[in-house]
Amino acid sequence: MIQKLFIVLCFVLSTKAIAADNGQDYMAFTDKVAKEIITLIKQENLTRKEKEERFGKILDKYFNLKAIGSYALGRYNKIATPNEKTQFHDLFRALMIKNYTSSFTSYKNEKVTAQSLKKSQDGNSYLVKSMVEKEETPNPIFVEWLIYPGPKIYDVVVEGVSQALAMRAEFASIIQGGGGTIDVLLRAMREQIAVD
Amino acid sequence: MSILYRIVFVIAIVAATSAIAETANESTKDNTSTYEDNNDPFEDFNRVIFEINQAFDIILFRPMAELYGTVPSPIRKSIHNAVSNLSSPVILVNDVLQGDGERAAITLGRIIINSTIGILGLFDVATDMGLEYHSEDFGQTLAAAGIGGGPYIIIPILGPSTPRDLIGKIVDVILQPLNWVAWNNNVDWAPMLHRGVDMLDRRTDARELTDRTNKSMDPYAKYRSLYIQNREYKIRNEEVDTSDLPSPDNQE
Repeated sequence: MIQKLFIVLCFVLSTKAIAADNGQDYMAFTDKVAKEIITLIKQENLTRKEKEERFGKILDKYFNLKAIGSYALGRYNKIATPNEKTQFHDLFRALMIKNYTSSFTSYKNEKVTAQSLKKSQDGNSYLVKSMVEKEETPNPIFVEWLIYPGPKIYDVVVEGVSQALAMRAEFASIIQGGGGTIDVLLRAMREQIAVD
Repeated sequence: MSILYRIVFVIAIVAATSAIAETANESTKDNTSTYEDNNDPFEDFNRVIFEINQAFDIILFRPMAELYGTVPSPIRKSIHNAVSNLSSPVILVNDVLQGDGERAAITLGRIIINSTIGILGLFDVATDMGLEYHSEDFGQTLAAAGIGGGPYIIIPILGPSTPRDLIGKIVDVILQPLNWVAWNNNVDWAPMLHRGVDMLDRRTDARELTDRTNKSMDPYAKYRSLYIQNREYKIRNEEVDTSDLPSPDNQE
């Protein structure tokens, strides 16, 4: 009896998982994430530190930071020691929080609306296209969210510019310009995070 | 003045055709993913021009954008629409050159609707009717013909480009029928005013992006990536290429 129940339960759960992964819910998902971020931006009673903490939680919850970080480190994953990798991922998270929360002040009265959904070329992920409207700027911009089952966000593409790829290009340039060691990047990241 | 123009054009056309012939020989493969490869052999020199451009931006263009940003949004929107409508013939010509009938029809429909119902282009009625804007330029047309961008270059004042896209920009001036109308009627200032307002409009919209990018660890590398990625995206007619983006495989 218990076995049967278990099988039925497994069946129900699996169909649910399939239903969630056909992508239809992803538009609602990105709207929800965008809404949470905008709500956070608008909260005026929070200190910067509190905002950073909450934004970190949003990142952990909805984004696959580990995969984005590894991607951004690119071919230097091969030469990084385990210790350097650990440091890198910690700094990467802090840098994302820093970069985005520091421009929070310039994002006001934004409205993000998911408009369309498309299966990406590899067939495993989806791209949700959202329109970002702002009161101050007359022309809306388009943002595409790359989502894999989970659902988790793996990239945000703004007018065709992958934020992850732009970071990878920047990291590579810093490493190459500084003599080819991971340490150069880690130092630059630490400095950037420390800037007020 | 018009003789000077003609001389410039003849030089431009000669330069364009010879350069196209040259690039066509060597690089036809990189119209999909120049992405990872920065293709920036002149980086040291580019960085110098980049710094000069950044200085110009701080003292001149950024303040102008700040000032223009105070113009009420609906007015700016209408100016943007009118400028964009005047640029549309170039888009149409390039749609046609690329043999893209559907997009050519959309652009033509936009021009007709916005120039009439939209009151000389001040209102973008066409978008509301489902005919959405898309960009096209001769640089993209060359890319569609399989011609690679060539090395990344930074042009004084104008910013990031490639030889292909620079040639494209020059050819677009010739492809713009309204320019010929203006030159033949001795109103040479009109195309310049149009171009100037267009640049100001773009710079004003880009304030947030440039502020954020300027604060990054390596702004030069960041801008280079933004430029290359955005160009490739436009060449692919606004399709995001997900083949080389983060995926679960990146997790170690």
